[in-house]
Amino acid sequence: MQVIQVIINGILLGGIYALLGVGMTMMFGIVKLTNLAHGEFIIIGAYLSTILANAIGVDPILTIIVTVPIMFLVGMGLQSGLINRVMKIGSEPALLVTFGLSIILADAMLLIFSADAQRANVPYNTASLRIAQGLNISVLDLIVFCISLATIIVLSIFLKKTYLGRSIRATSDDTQAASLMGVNVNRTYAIAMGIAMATAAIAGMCVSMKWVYYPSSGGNYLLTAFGVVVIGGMGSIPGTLIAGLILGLAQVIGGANYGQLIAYVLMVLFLAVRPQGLFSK
Amino acid sequence: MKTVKKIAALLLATLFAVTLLAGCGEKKETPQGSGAAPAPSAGGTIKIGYVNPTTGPLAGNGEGCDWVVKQIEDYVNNQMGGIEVDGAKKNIKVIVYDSTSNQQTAADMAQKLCVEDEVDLIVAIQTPETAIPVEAQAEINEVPCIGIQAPVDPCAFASDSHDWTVHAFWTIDNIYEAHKALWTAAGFGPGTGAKIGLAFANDADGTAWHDTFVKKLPEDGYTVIDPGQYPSGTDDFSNVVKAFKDADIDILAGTNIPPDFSNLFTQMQAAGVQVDAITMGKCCLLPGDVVALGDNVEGILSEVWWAPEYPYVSALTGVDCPTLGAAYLKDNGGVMPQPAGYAYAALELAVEAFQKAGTTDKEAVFKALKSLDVETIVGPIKYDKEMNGLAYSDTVVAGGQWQKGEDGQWHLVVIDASLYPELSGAIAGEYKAGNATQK
Repeated sequence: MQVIQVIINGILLGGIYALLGVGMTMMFGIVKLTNLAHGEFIIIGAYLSTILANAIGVDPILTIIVTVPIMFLVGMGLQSGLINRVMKIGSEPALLVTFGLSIILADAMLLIFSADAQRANVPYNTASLRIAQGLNISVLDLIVFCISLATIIVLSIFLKKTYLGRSIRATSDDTQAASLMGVNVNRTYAIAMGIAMATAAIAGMCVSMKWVYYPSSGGNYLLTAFGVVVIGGMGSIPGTLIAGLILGLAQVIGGANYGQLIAYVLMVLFLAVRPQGLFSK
Repeated sequence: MKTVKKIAALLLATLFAVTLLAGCGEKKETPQGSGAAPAPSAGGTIKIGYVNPTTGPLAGNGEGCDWVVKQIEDYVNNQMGGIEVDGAKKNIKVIVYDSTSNQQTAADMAQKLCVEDEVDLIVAIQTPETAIPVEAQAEINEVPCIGIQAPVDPCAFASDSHDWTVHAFWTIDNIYEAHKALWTAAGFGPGTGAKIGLAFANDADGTAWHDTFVKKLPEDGYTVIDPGQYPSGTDDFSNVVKAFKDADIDILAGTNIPPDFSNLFTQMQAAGVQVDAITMGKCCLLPGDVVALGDNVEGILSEVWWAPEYPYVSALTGVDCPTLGAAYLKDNGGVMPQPAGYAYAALELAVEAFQKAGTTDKEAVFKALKSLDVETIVGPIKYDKEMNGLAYSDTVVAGGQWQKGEDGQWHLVVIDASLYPELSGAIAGEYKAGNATQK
């Protein structure tokens, strides 16, 4: 029974890990950009969610109706107005811009929200479902896992089945050919960043319910997102899910004592043995 | 279209520049706390270095630093007219840098203070994560160092060289006794055989607490449930929760940063692990840190090292604890946090040392500092004890519990002063079971 409990906990934790990494893997795969501000985007999503939920008095999950479109538009504006311009010079300056952006955003959040610990307290954060004797599933973890899974599935369907999704994938595969076929590359990049920000809004909402966060917490989530991208493969959405689950299971199997160590050893092993990740070509 | 994009880019760039400028101010990369400092007296100023966790997970400990710095600077420079050293009256200037709650940054900032700013004395304060690296830099650069508000043991054993550092705070032995008094208040005195689950991170602070608790608990007739230490920032505590559940613990004891405790506690509750008492250091000391726990904070026990109700009077400024607390409340709109009391004491000690030395010569200042015997806002300080070569002074500690006040806010109410009976006047309530402690 204990083994089953460990596997369940690992899978549930893996779900949110995958969600943390999905926006970053999209930027890696499509825009070929290492977005070092992704952690701060997640924390912005967390703050927006917590503030809205407290102000309106609704469950934080409902806040994504507002936060996702806002973050999508901000992401598009950011990519069109700033990063696309810098990317004309090369990918390194763009990486530095995202690094600068992460510092600016962390400091701006500190000024606005102070350094106090934050968390969106929901009534079900300590509730659990008893499956059998000695086997419990946290309701919050289950909800967060379902949200993560739904986000990843919707994103996968969007990229596969819609014209816009196909044009994004075409840009990812061969930017020049896509451009010749009439795809507006800059617009595609802007949409990709918009989607990455939108997933950060959802991830932030989940983070705000599950963990305590600060304006400075972005770095921790960026590191997890990196782990997911490295293991799953750059640009692979299904890879993100599998990588999240692998990291989650590694964390739980290693326990609080050795979980982080095992997760990062795994990451280094993947880099050594399969640097392109599980699902990347 | 191109013009619109150019305008949008310009606007974005302006917005980022403005935010960056604002952000830089908060990072405290430039000397601050001295913005309104009066012109120095003849011969320049006495410079005091101060590394503060203004941002990051320890930021709650750094709260109130700017206010305290202003109080002491105003008092010394305006009311005292400076300190007489080397035959001239000199103003003081406190240079504060942010450690970002990161040990490496704390070391870098301390080095900057010692080497670039050439401070005459440095303050190592606010948890071992900040104090230890700052004390190490003080030793390397041979700058007198006031270590304070970090348990003595981890600071003493972090290095074998303590030629420029004195320290003042409680020892782990004392804090163990304070927590034992709280377990007793909750009905689990020594010899009751209560099962105590331990939750300690594997950092310097957690290890020092862990080693003492593991040694002392069985001696007092408690049963220890120790699932092992873990790195700070751990996302999942499944194995720790399982160990507590299997053993059916009565008490949860530890010291953790807020995210670690919150994660562990939430997982414990989701797994149906209930306890009779929780004593938790570090994360459960400040209103800003416990607000993330919501109503679950009710009933959690923690130590109180300073409160505006304490009976001490600063020998330097003549201000007593209630007056200082009231001034803080008026200026900042909140109860003065415990660490801010210690920040005040650290700067009191710095001024006392320069006054006693009558010079800024570093050796003379350290000699004067080590021989101080004064009452500060946190109680009497006399560096007459030694641990691993570190001269230290014990400071007082009482026991508190988070209870909801009439104002609807959570307050850490002093409920036990058995270790230091002179603090009895600060007792404002008695032990009550709360949301966090209902087995």
